[in-house]
This record gives sequence, C-alpha cells and structure tokens, in this order.
Amino acid sequence: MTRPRGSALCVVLLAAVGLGGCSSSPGEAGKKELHVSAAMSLKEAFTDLEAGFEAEHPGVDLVFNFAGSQILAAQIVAGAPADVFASADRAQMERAATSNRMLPARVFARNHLVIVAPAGDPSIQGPADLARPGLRLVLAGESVPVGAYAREALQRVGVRDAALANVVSNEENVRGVLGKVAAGEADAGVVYATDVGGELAGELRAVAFAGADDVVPAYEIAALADSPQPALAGAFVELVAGPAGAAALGKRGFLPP
Amino acid sequence: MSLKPGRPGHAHLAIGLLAGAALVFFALPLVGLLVRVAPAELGRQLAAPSVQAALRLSLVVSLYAAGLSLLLGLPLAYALARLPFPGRGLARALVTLPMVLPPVVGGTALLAAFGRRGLLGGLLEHGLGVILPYTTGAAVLAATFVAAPFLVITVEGALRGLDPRLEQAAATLGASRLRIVGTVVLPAIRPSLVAGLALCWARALGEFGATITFAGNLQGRTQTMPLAVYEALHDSPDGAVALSLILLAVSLTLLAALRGHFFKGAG
Repeated sequence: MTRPRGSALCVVLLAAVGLGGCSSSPGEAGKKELHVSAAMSLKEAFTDLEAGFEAEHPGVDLVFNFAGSQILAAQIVAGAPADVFASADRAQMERAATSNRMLPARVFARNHLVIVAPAGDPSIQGPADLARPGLRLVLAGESVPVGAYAREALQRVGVRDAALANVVSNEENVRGVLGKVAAGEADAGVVYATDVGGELAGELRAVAFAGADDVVPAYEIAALADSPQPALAGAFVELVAGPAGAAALGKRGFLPP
Repeated sequence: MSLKPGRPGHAHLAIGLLAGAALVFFALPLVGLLVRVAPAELGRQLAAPSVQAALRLSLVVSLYAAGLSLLLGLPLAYALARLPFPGRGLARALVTLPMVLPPVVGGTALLAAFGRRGLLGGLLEHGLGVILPYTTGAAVLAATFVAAPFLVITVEGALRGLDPRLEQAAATLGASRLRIVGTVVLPAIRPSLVAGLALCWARALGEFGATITFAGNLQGRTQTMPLAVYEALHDSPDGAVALSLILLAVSLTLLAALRGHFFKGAG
C-alpha cells in the first residue's frame, strides 16, 4: 500500500455512502412503501388487511410499525416518516396532532378491557381481587393508552389506589403486560379483550372487568398531511374505516365504532 | 504498510483525519445534548420526585452491583489467572459472554434462571420465600450480570501480567496465601483494579436492557435513570434530554474523581 491517504478516504466515503443507502432503501424489488404506524393491539387485524390492500394497489408495499401509541405519537412529533397513524386513544392522536402533521382523525373501532391471570391460577375473579395485598400486578404505563384506560377503570370500581400499590412493572405496550402474565412472572394484568385470543391464549385466563363498562377504548386513525403519497394514505384510512376494515377488525374481536 | 522515508506526512495526515473524525463522532452527540437542553427544564427535572427517586435508585443499584462484582469477581479473576483447573478456557469465555450478549438477551436468560418459572425460581419462592423478578434486587443482579465481566477481565489481565516470582518470593519468606494476596498482589494490581471497578460501575450505571427485562419498570423500585430517560423520551422529549445530561454529569464526576488512577503518567 503506497497511498494510505487515498485508501483511508475511500473507506470513509464508502462507509458514508453505505450508511446513507440504508436510510432510503427502496423496499422489496423497488416497490413503493406505505408506512403505517399503528397501536400494538391492532397488529393482527391490520396484518390481516395487508394482502388485500397490496393486491388492490400493485407495486405498493405496506410497512407496519407496531408499538405503544405513545411511542408512535412521540415519533411523529419528532418528525419520523409515516403516512398513516392509528392510535388506541384520543390523547395520543391529539399529541401526534401537536406536530401539525395530522389530518383530521376518526374513530374506527372500539374495544373493552379484561383482566388476565396465568392459566393455572383461579384466584382472580374480578377487579376487586386486584387490590388484594401482595398481588403482583402488571399494567401498561400511564401514557400508554391501555394503561390509561386501566387506571380509569380501576378508579371506576373504587380500587385504584390499592391496585396501583400492587403494580410491579409499568410496561410500554399491551403485549408487554400480556407476556409477563403468560410467563407467570405477574399474577394479573389489564389488557384489551382482543389481546387474549392470540398464541398466548393457552397460558392465560381472562376475567371480565366488571363495573367499568363505560370505559370504552376507542381507536382513531388519520393520514399524515405531509405524506408523500396522500392518495395511498387516504386509501388505507378508507379501507380500515370501511366495510373490509370492519370485517377484519370484527373477526379479531374489535367492536364497531 | 511500507512507509517510505521522507514521506511520513501522508500517513500522519490520514491518521489525523480519521482520529479527528472519530473525536467529532464521539463529541457531537454530547454537544447535541448540551445545545438541546433548556436550563429551566434541567432544574424542573432535578426537583421532580420521580427523577430524584431514579437518581437515588441508580446510585444504589450501581454501587451494590459494583460491590457484588468485587466480591465475586475478584476471586474469579484470581482463579482464572492463577489456579490451573480443567475447563479454564471455557470459564474465561463464559465470563466474557455477558459483554458481547445483547443485554435484553441477558435479561431473558436471568428470567429463565431466577424467574418464578425459571430453573431456580421455584426453589427461591417456595424454599426461601423470595421472588426476584421486579424487585430492586433483580435490578442489582441484572446490572451485576452485565457489568462484573469488565472487572473480572481487567483484573485477570493485570494478574497475568504480574511476575509470579514476586509471590514466590513472599511465599519463601513464609507468608500465607491470603497474606500474599493482601500485601503483594492487590497493591501491585491496584491501578487495574480501580480502572476495572470504575468500568464496572459505569456499565452498571448505564444498564438498561437486562434491567427492564428482568426487573421491570417501576418508579422507586426498579426504574433506574436509563429507564427513566427511555420513558421520558416518549412522554416529554425535553425531559429526556435533561435526564440524559444529569446522568452524564454523574458519570463525569466519577471519572474525574478517578482521574488520578486512570491517567497516571498519561498527558
């Protein structure tokens, strides 16, 4: 090697080009990507819609970003690229809207809360049991929609403070709660009714959250105003809020808006 | 690489350019934090009970982890360096494993060992009445699991570099094994011991993945500063910046306190 400077510069340039390339990958086989940021609990229902949407829009690759709505809202406020946002509550949709990037939102589905316990443990019968001293309760964090709904529901049945004293961990999304209970590390958790039917169903026992019928989780969806493909983004919103979306959501146990 | 006499300038220029790029790469994120932080936010965060709880917990957990690492890691380092036993190479590899393992994998493994349904979980719960996951103890174990190897590896390296004739000389003078370790070995490796301990403590202070997996996230019990930063990132990004700076200041303070040991003899 007689030109150390040249080769070193080459390496740096190559690395920079390589890193830059990663950030704007064209997707599979040059397809156009539509980025949908959606609440974790929508994972299965939205994934069910993927094949139909891509068949109807050839050359489009639907890319989902599933996470707690509070994380997705923070990403949108921080300027993350996204075309559609589906939030599990109004608060996080409103927070995303503070970015002035959101088009008007609409409610497209509802849900209800259930208590989950490990399959082998029959001791949890209702929300009052969540206040039992020494119980290891796992909730989602306060800003996570399901965590906010759970706290509201506990308030409604009058066991909020006692139950919150039993919380051993605040999870960042509903599936974190589900996993800890299914693994037997927690005695109980509060999740959406639609979460219980998945592959962990055999590990879990769901109990009705009696007395909190008026705490009704409502899902909102909106396209982003700065989406580079507004027609496609709008089409996905229409799909979710329309009959096909209602069917897919209904199949997974969601309630109509 | 053959450097022709009379043309060292090119090599130095290349090294200087890359070294400068590396420095900028390390410094820029810190500058970013400093630029982004609002002084009022810094004060507000420092006054918040949740932040004080996280700060206190971080100090307690990381100090316990450093102490535990010292208690278990020092004998282990000595055994790896000085005691020939079968499978020593394997043991050494095992100790290095947590350094290269993603911490979240470490947390999952800790659950598989000490969780309620883990290998020892039943024994702990029904034999001793101890349920580890989601306790401050679990946070200490998680931090120890990822941080102790830094101490072990550093001390073991120093021990292996130590001339065994020093110990042999002390032995011929009639000193007991324990006395030799205390009066000859430990003083001789003191700089490495301090450096290893500082690395271990700093790693424990920054621990996130194994902690949130094995110990969960609860204010005052398991929510250490890195977990608080992560949560704030979604709830109040300005708060996250302020919290990061606070954590940075704590780490810098420790490094400055240890500067004498770290940079002895260097610029």
